[in-house]
Amino acid sequence: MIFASIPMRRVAERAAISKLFTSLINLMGTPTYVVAALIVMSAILAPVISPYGPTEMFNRLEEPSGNHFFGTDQNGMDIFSRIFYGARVDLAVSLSAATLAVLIGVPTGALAAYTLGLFDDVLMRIVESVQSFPTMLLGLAVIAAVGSDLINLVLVIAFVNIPIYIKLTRSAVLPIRNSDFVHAARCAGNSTFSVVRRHILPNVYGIIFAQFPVNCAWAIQMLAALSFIGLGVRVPEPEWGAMIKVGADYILFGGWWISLFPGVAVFTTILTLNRLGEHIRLQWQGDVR
Amino acid sequence: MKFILYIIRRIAYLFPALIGVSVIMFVLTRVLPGNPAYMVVGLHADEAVLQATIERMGLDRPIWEQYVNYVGQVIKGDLGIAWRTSYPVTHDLKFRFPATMELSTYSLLLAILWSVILGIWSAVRSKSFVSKAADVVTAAGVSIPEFWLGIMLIVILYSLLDIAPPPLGRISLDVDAPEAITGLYVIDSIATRNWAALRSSSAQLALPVITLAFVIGAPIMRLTRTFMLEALRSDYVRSARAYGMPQSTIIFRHALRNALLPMTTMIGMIYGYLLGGTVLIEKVFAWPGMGKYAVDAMLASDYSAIMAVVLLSASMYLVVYLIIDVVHFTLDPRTR
Repeated sequence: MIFASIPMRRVAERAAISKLFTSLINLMGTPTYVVAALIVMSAILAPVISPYGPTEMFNRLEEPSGNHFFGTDQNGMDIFSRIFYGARVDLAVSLSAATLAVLIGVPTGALAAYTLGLFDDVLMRIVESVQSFPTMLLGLAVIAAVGSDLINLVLVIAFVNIPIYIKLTRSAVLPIRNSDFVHAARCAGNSTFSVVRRHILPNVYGIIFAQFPVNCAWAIQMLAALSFIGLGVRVPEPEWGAMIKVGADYILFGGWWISLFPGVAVFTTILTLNRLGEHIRLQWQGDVR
Repeated sequence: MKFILYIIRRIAYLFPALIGVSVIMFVLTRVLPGNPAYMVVGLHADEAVLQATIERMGLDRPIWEQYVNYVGQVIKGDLGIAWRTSYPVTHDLKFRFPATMELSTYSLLLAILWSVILGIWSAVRSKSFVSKAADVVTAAGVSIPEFWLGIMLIVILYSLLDIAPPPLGRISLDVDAPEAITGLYVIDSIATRNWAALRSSSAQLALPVITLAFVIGAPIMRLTRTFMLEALRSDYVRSARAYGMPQSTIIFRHALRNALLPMTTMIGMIYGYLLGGTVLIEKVFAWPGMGKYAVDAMLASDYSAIMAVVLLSASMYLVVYLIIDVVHFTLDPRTR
């Protein structure tokens, strides 16, 4: 009825445009796993794919050309090669940080939701104060205090992500903590620890799996941001955020390519991870129905 | 009565969080490398002067004693002196906070404008072209690193097209800042009828505001659409339709009202987060706000300044959270 006043031709036109968009989106949608696989492959195969080493030096500030597909930065290092090597650092740091956050956050959150009482109260107050920190400032302060080697970066990024998993797991466990199967497990003589581990946790895996890629995306964003501020990974180590930072000093003088390509790499990776999370979430929801 | 009790209890909840934040931060700053006494006396001062300074600053005391002293000072309204700038921290923040506030407020307003309109639209016409385009835009918005987007906008609009002014702070170097009333340049220059300052400060604001508004608008849009879709599918909307109510009444009076609660929560949280210092955007646009101040202070081991910024931004966040809760309490009978 809404469209009754619109001439038929325009409706057809709109339908065509709409169809085009749908197929475009599907094109973006289906190969999520493919793109994700490509990104991981390019990180693993960095030495094979990239034409030069990550710290090999050539002419400085060369525009993109046949020799250097993405140009060179102010140290004369080949940006195209550095993006592949950068994928290794970014993916390794974000994967390990997110994994660590899951390993600590999920059991803690489940335990808190199952036992409630004092432990839960205290934990929630701690989580609240960690979350009321501006994340970037907290990350910056810790990194400034402990130094910015890769291990510390992983620990810090994991630390600020733990509250997310605690809250997520807690909210997923709370509705089932009084279910019959939990009581049954309890009556069968299981300890608190084993009730949580064997009977409660398996029910929240789906949510955690869906959150994981999203969290990795967030970790990459945080790593890149820390490096961009100058407190994360430092040049000459190849890392996307640090590469964007290097380019930022040259944009006023026309050096557009230095920041552009590493940024595209960050953007594509984060987009892919977010979509991956979405896919997993939808699939898991389908299972439940 | 119940309402007042609720507010009192809610305010009491603020203190554990604030104490937690300040303790964590206090310990962190004390383990920052670099002895701040050196920053005061210089690297080549002799041992006696250095010792005297350390004593005067209380750095030789046990850490819990330092903390208690610090809290005592803060309660009196004294945030200490920033060694890096050698001004009292309160003096520094008087200029920094409005800069961040101006940036975050306009960004939030712009973000709400585009995201809520688009969110409602794509929920009402969920199969339309606009809705699909909105999908693409928001997927990009939640995935794009804001500092990179800022840099790319500078490349395109300043370096290539020369439409935007150079990304160097709140106002062009050859224009005087407007007389300080609120500290917000745009409002001050309107109040004092200083049109040159208004033009320059709005131009400086444009790019960072667009960047932030794009990034923070994306999640607001998604949320708006989700809750609008849910409301539009609900029984009460079906009943309203059956009564023959006009579409606009259904959308704005029935559906939007119910989507409003989660939306205010998210918008409030984003605002609290922005006021804590938009660190990255401030760096990209050389914006003299709290985020940049915090980073500089951290790199210089400037204890009082770091503590003040973190406490201020954590309080902002918690207060915004409090306001959201109170708003919910008054709007939503179920929370009572």
